[in-house]
This record gives sequence, structure tokens and C-alpha cells, in this order.
Amino acid sequence: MSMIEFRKVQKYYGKFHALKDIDLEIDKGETVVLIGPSGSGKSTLARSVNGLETIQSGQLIVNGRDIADKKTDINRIRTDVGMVFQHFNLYANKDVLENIMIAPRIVLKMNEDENKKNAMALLDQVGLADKAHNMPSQISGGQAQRVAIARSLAMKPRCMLFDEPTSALDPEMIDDVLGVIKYVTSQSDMTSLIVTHEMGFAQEVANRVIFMDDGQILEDDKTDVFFKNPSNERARQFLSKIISH
Amino acid sequence: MQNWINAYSAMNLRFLFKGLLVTLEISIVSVILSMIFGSILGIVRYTKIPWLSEIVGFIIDIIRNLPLLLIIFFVYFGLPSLGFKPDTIVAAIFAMTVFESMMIAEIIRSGIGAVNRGQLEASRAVGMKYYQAMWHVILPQAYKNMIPALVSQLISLIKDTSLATIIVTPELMQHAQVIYGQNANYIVPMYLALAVLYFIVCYSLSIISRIIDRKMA
Amino acid sequence: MITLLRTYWSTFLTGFGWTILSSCIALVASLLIGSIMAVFEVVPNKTLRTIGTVYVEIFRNIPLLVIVSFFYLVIPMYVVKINGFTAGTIGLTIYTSAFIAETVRSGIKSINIGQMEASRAMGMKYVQAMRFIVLPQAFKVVIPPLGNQFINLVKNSSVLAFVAGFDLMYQGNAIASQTFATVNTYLIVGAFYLVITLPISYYMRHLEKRLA
Repeated sequence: MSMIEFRKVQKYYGKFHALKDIDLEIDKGETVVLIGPSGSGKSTLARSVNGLETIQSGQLIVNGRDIADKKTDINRIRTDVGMVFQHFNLYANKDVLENIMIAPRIVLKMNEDENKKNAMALLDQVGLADKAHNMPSQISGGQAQRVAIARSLAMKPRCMLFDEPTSALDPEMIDDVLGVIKYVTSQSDMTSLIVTHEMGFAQEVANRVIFMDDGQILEDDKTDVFFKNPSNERARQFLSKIISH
Repeated sequence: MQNWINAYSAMNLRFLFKGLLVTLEISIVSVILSMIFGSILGIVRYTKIPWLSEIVGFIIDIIRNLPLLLIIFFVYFGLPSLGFKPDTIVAAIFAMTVFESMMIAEIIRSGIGAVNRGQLEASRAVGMKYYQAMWHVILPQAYKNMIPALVSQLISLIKDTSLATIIVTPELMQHAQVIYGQNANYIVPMYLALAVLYFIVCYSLSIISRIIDRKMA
Repeated sequence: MITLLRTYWSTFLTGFGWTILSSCIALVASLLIGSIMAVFEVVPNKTLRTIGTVYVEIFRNIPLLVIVSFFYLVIPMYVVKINGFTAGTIGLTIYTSAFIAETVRSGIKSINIGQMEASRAMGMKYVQAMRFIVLPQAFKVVIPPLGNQFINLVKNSSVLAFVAGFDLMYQGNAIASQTFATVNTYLIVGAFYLVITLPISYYMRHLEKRLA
């Protein structure tokens, strides 16, 4: 049963062809890592899953609903799909706890007590219960990203998108964040799509790895196959460059 | 010396003070109305609604680039021909509101534009509607950043109320003119009084704005 | 409206000319005074800094009309006879220079302190570093806000009408009271102002976008 399905998806920025004829199926519970050089379209692909980027043609079916269909309530889909951004994007005007509670309150109309209990539990899970009343400007990047993950989980999503979640972090903060992501992806009913440059991490958590370049999917393999013996030449070059560092 | 003492007689000072109250009344009512209209117009302009945003933007640009004095004349002479004859204070408030709403709309638009785009994306990504994201996340940050610009707009509004003297609005400037109209020797004392009164009001506001700004930074 | 324009075109144009003249004189003079005051506000010398700050704070916080009327009424009484145009232009200059000083000062502040230090380290004097390194960079930053100040200046020049300053608004008032075609006259006056202010406004927005 597929959670996310791209069928002949095309995306343009003006004249620039950002996604070329994408066909892709991600099953429920799968963890898929998306890699590729910068500008290859991997972030665009991830961001189109919750409609932050609109596609020009093709079908994109998320949890049984076609995103490209005008009748689809995009906000309904977005409550099912959590997203973690490269630059965290914590709401600068709200403290950590409010960052987590606001969307359940105004989108899901969750009961306030339940919301708070839930938010504190999530903060506890990501190891930041003591930061509940700090403002986003008062915590480190690694902590902010963990709050951002908790914020997404508060919506009880069926699927998570991680858009380069560790690219903006200092090296010593990366492990904590990866640890949280690993925990999230390990839950059996959670579907995850992760854009990342952390190859070791990809090897550890991914069921499948997809390599993109120039707006196309060039390789889509089981993780061990991909890292041992990628069939695509460009993927091979990309891997050798990244791993030699 | 005697001139100065006579100029600052209790009666004259009371009259000036009455003018100051009208000045403040016009300013406060206008600024409240302008904040409301200006916010709506600014958001409409920022939101890029087809046609509507362009029309609103065009109107904002036209009015912003005209002298306030001209707007005052338009309101004072133009409204009666539409069958509405406002008294001078209402006319002044009307003109100030039309003009200041456009100035504030522009401040709001650029204030919203200055909020990091990721804030909107993160709000939309959790399923908030556009207006929810605006109301809960974007606007509070935008207004906070805009406080200095809004206060300096308020200061120029207060100073600009003096222009309403041209339609004989009984505000501070007009009352000073009435006083020195009786005796040319009062001109210098009256201008000194005007300078001091306007300065006290405007400068205190700019100090308050600076304190708020520092507290929030 | 066409008839009005046809009958009074020379009056409108005269007013337009005086408005431009007054604005340009005030612009040049207030750029000069404003820049000097801005530098005063940032120099290490305490006296100069006080002079700069006091000048800016006083004239920014008093209505232009008060300043202009003061020059129109008081200077001829005690000092020298000047007409409304001169009094108005002087008032405009003083008022605008305070705002320009504020703009230029924040421009100077936005230039990295390292620029000054590097210049001083190379043996330049403070004035040289200011003149050749800091101010040129500052002016580039402040061009869009200065453009907005100029738009304000043109709009503000309408207060010359209060002191018989021959400008566009003054001529408009005269025509309006002669013809009683008040609304039409002011529409034409407005169009004349827009001819100056709108292009500058759009150009400044374009510049801001390019710099951002």
C-alpha cells in the first residue's frame, strides 16, 4: 500500500525544468533517503509532497489523495505530512512549547490540556523538556531542530519529510538530531522521506536510496545494493566524491 | 519683556492647551483608524490577489506620493460635493486617515516581506490556512519589527496635523495663530511655545520608541 | 478640466517651476548640512556630537509649518526682508536636513567598523578615512532612503503655499478661488506633483530590490 505516489510529475520554475517526469512510489512504513548534488531537484521533490511547491502536470497522490487535484484540501494533507526544514523555521514570536502547541490548537482544535500533555511528552522525547519556555533565539541550532521535529510530530502525521535537517548545524550538534530522526523513522507505521548528505546515516536508517540529478531520478535501489554497487555512472561518481571526504 | 508676559497670560495658555488637545485628539483617532485600514491594505497588497492587489497598490502609490495638504483640500472641498459636509475636525481626521493609511500600508507590506519566508512555509506545512499563518505567526513578528517605523509615522502624523490649520481646524497651530493675530508682538513667544509643545510630544514618543526597541532586541 | 488646464496652463507651469526650484535648492543644501550633521553625530569629539544630536532632534520633532512660518514672519521683523519663497526654502532645508542627517548617520553606522580601522591602520587620518572610505560606502547604502527623503521634500514644499511662496499649491489655491472649480484644480495640481514623485518612487523601489 503506497503512502506517496508520483506519476509522471513535471515541475517548472519559469523555464527551468526542475522535476522531469518523476515516477516514484513510497510504501507505508518505508524510510527513503533522497540524495544528489545541489540543484538536482531533491528538495523540490520533497517539498512538492506537501504542496509547498506546486507541480505543473502529472499526479501526486499522498495518503490516497491527489495533491494536484484542485478539489483536494491541501491543509488536510498537510496535517498528515510533517515537515522538518533545513533552517528549522521555528516561529520566532512563540516560545518552544507554543511552537509545538499552536498548530494542534488552531488546526486540529485539540483540547488544551491534551495538547499540552502531548507537547511536553514530545519535548521529553527529544530531550528538551527543560527548554519549554525558552524562545527560539535562546536555544542552539541542534536544539531548535529537535524542537522542530517535535513540532511536526505533534500533528500526529503519518508521513515525515526531512529537508536537509542537519545541513545548517554545527558538526557537534548533528548526532543528537540524527538520533531523534532515527527514533522517528524506526516507528513501524511512519513513512519518511529524507533529503540528506549524511551517507553513514542514510546507510543506517534507509530501506531505499534514491539518487537524483538534473531533475531526474537516476537510481532507486535497496540501501545495501545502492551503496555497494550503484548501477548509474553519475551516482557512482557522486558517491565516490562524497565518501572520499 | 512685558510682551512675553502678556503673551503667556493664563487665558492664552489655556487656549493653546485646548488646541494641543484637539491636535492630540485628531492624531490619536487618525492613527487608530490608519492602523486598521493600513494593515488591511498592506496585507492585501502583500498577498498578491489577482487584480485586487494591483489596484490597491496603485491607489497606495498615488496617494502616498501626493502632498498631505492636497488631500486635506480634496477632503474639505471635495466631500461637500458628494453631499457630506464634515466639520473641520472630522475633515482633518478624514484626510489624515486617508493619507496615513497608505503610508502605514506600505510599512506593513515591507514589514511582512521582511519576516523570513520559512516562517510562512513552516506554518503552512502543518496545515494552517494562509490567514491563520498571518495572524498567529507572521503579523506578530512583522509588527514587532515595525514598531520604530510606526512610531516615527505617528510622530510625523502629529506634526502634520498642523497643516489642518489651513481649513481652520481649531488645533494647536491654529490657536497660536489666533493669539498672535491679535497682537504682532506675540508672534515670537507663540512660535517658541509651538516649538516647545510639539517638541515635547514628539520627542517623548521617539524616546519611548527607542526604549521599547532596546527592551525587545 | 481640459478648459481649466488650457486657460491656466502658464500659471500651473509657473507653480510647477517654483516647486521644482525650491525642492532642488533645498535638496542640495540639506544634503550638505545633513551630511555634516551626520558626521558630527558620529565623531569622537563630544561637543560636535552634542551639536549634531541637538540639531537633528530639534528639527525632526517640530512641524515643518512651524519652522517655515517662523522664518516668514520673524526674520523679516528683526533681521532681513525675505519673501515667502526664500523663507519657505530655508525652512524646508532645515527641516529636511535633520532627516537626511538621520539617514546618513544610519548609513555610516551600517558600514563595518573594520573599514575605519583598516583605513586608520594604513595611516589615514580620521577625516580622510571618513571622506574617502566610509562616506562613499555609506552614500551607496542610503541612496534609496535619500530618494524617499527627496519625495517627502517635494511633497512638503507644498507648505510654501502658506507663506505665498509661488509654488504649485499656491497657484492651485489662487486658481481654485478664482474659478471655484476646486476639485478639478486640485486634481491637476495633484497630477503635477505625481509627475515628479511617482517616477522617483518607482525608481527607488527598483533600486532597493536590486540592492537587496
